[in-house]
Amino acid sequence: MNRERYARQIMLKDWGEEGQGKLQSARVVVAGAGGLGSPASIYLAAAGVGELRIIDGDVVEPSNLNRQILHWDRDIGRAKAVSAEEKLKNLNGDIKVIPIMQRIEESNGEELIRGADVVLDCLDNFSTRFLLNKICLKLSIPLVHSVIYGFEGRITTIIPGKTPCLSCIYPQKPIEIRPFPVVGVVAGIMGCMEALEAIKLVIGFGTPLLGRMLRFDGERMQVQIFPLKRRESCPDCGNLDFKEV
Amino acid sequence: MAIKVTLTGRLAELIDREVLLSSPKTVGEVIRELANMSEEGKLSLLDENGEVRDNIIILLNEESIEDLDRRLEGEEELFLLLPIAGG
Ligand SMILES: [Zn+2]
Repeated sequence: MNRERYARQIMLKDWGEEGQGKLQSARVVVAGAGGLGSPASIYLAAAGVGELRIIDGDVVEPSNLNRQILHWDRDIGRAKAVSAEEKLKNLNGDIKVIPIMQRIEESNGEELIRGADVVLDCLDNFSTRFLLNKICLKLSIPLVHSVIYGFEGRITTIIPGKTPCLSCIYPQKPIEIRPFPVVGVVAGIMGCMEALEAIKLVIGFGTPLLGRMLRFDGERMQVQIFPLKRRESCPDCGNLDFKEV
Repeated sequence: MAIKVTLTGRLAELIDREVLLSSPKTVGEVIRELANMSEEGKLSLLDENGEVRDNIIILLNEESIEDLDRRLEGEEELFLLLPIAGG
């Protein structure tokens, strides 16, 4: 391990060499290399997460560039997963980056996610987000969920069998709004929060947003944190044996 | 006395970012009154049967509530958070 590279975080009592070792052995899936996935994966790479699996089936478009900071002018038309891999490998040569140029579907989802220690939901639509929620519940993998719209961001961390899941939060299928407005900085802030939750989960310190949602309003500079309720009748997690945290 | 309702996302674009309604009113009545302010907004607030959708996060004084019959009497601040999925 390159101790000098990680010296400033290893200094933290709850992090230490042991925590750094856990990060180095960790496998984190970043689902979506867009507005949330760009900052999230950059900070996870910088922190020394050993394996980053970047899943994105899209190519870079000009309208992505206000927020998807892994992708630059010269990447237009390129697969996002490949563009992400190049930047992340250049940022930190110690880590393994696996680009996956596929969309998460019913047919391939489990295979793409299996073996991960944490999954970051950095997607941009409800249907894939609900599918990812179901897969993580089935494979019992913690899922950090964040969303953005305009100046607003929301984030919560879902632990199968311990916290409410995405379908508990939104039981009725929501209406998709596309295209949605996004302030790049807000995507950056929320993606960074996702990375922080993932790091805390892997190392095992601090208090993640379990059963709580944080809402950030960048326009008014307001932060609200409120509890989320599990639904006994939830079609996705209602069958799990619950141990509340 | 007034109930201040803060709307976010698409609903704020369709109606307003803040709406003042006279009290007393139940939470359900507030949502129905807002639904009457925008045809498109109504689709996200009420389902096909005219029932309030259960995917709206309702915050009253920093707590999320589900009871649509909850009466709002005095100066109260309500947040309606519709589902969002952008990334
Ligand atoms: Zn659930």
